[in-house]
Amino acid sequence: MVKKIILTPDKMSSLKGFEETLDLLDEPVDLHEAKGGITPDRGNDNYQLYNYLESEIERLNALDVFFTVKISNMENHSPTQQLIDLQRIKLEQTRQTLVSLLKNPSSPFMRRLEHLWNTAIAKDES
Amino acid sequence: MKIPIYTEVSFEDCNQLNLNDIKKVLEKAQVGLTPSYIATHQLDLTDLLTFLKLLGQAIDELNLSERFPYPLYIITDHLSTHPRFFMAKSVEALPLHYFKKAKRLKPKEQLLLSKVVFTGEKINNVDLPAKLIFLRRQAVLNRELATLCHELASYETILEQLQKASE
Repeated sequence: MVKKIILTPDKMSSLKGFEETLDLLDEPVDLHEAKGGITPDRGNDNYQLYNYLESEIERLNALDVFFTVKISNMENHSPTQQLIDLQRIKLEQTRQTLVSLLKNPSSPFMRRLEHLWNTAIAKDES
Repeated sequence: MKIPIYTEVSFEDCNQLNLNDIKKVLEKAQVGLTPSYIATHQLDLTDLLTFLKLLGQAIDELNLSERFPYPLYIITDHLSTHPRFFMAKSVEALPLHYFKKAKRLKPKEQLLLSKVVFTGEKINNVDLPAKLIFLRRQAVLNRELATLCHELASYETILEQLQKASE
């Protein structure tokens, strides 16, 4: 049985000169040039809408889960306010520890202040 | 069932529209269930702002969202941004995602479309304005938490350096 193949004019021109080699194939081939040409996405056209609808389902499902499950969970059991309170307590404790360390006369901060005083102000006074 | 591709919401004689007319048009055009746009080239800036205010009121009263599940775009040359609506200069400038050729659907596609419509309606039934207000409030709290975390981290770094220096 002769296999009928329809090709675009570009592909037909690229096969020019090789027509005889096609006769060597086991299965005979009958080449035809497409009338009006074949659009490159003709084969995929059917799936464009299918893919689009599938991706829309995924997108809408994600939105649905976000609005109905995730936000509802956050509304009922939001940890943010508790974390803020905890962080404020920690911050206050750290600040107090830091100030008590800096207040120590042997701390680098006090030593730097002393150095500044001695070099800039105490010299002028003497 | 309509395929969710761009639909023009047309308001004939926008200047003389009242709230009820806008609500009727929005309901008829299924805004929220399909991506839509309103071309407002014929309106000047003052009329456009009045129209957008009325449109916002109509959307609130219909309990719809101009963003979810499908967006509503306003085509205008006068404004490039708006606190509430998505603006675009022309139809060509709209996101390409929703530009698809409408055609007769095959049974498989019809099944997918019914799922899309069902999920879209499900999202439309959620109280979206309340959820969006909650999200905005949550964002403020998260920002506050982030600021506190940064402050604590910087204090802890100083404390660590001081302790290292004293050793």
